[in-house]
Amino acid sequence: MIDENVFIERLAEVLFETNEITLTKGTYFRQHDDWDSLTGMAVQVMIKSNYNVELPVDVFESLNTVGDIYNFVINNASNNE
Amino acid sequence: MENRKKIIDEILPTRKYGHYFRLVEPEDAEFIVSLRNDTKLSRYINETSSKIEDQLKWIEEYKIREKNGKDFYIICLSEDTKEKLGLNRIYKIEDSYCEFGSWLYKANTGKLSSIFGDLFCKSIIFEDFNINKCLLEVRKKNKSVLRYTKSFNPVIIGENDLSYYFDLDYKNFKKQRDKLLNFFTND
Repeated sequence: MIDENVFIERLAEVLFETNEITLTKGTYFRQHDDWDSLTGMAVQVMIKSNYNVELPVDVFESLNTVGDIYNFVINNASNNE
Repeated sequence: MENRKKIIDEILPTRKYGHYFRLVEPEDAEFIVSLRNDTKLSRYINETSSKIEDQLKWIEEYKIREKNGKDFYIICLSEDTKEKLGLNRIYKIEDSYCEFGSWLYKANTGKLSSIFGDLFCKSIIFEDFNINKCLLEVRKKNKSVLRYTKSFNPVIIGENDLSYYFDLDYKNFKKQRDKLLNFFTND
């Protein structure tokens, strides 16, 4: 089972380089000041590395909240942690 | 010293990674000014005049350095629509050293264009120009670029209040490039 809290902590580290900022499933990550395509790439790499899930660029473009990413990973992970 | 102008003329223009790359021309002045004066994109770069004529003058002077093999300003376009997407620059080129920068791409191109542009141009530095090291300056506040740059394991060679300075060599570049290309393409 993928641990939701661990997933969000990992995402926060990639998005904000810290896990001290509160990120929730409702957070619109694209609205963050530092959001850019490089950060997006880092998210894709994190998901592939930790959950063996490939998040295609065109699909990623349609995701807007942390919950969207989490749900995509949950629905596409073949091996849970 | 190798004739790098001849080498680049044999490479560009070209199609790679779903994009089209060529050297900057005067017709690109308006695009360059728009990118370099974009409020968000310009947060971490040197200030640029918003006048097209100033940019045209800069390109005119750049073309002399380009002809002499010292400076190559490369524009990335969409392969199919030829929409202008972004810029990279290889400059202060010497026998075994150069600087790499002016990395600026439109937001939300949706094609990882900025990454493919970076990898394409750095590959030219190391594999076509046979340059051993390139210098990268990254603003300390530019966190995403800093994280991306560090993922290549460059050597930090200096810093000031504004920036870190890194030396990147071919071995470390190739290792991370191949990992990223394997991840995002079938190359």
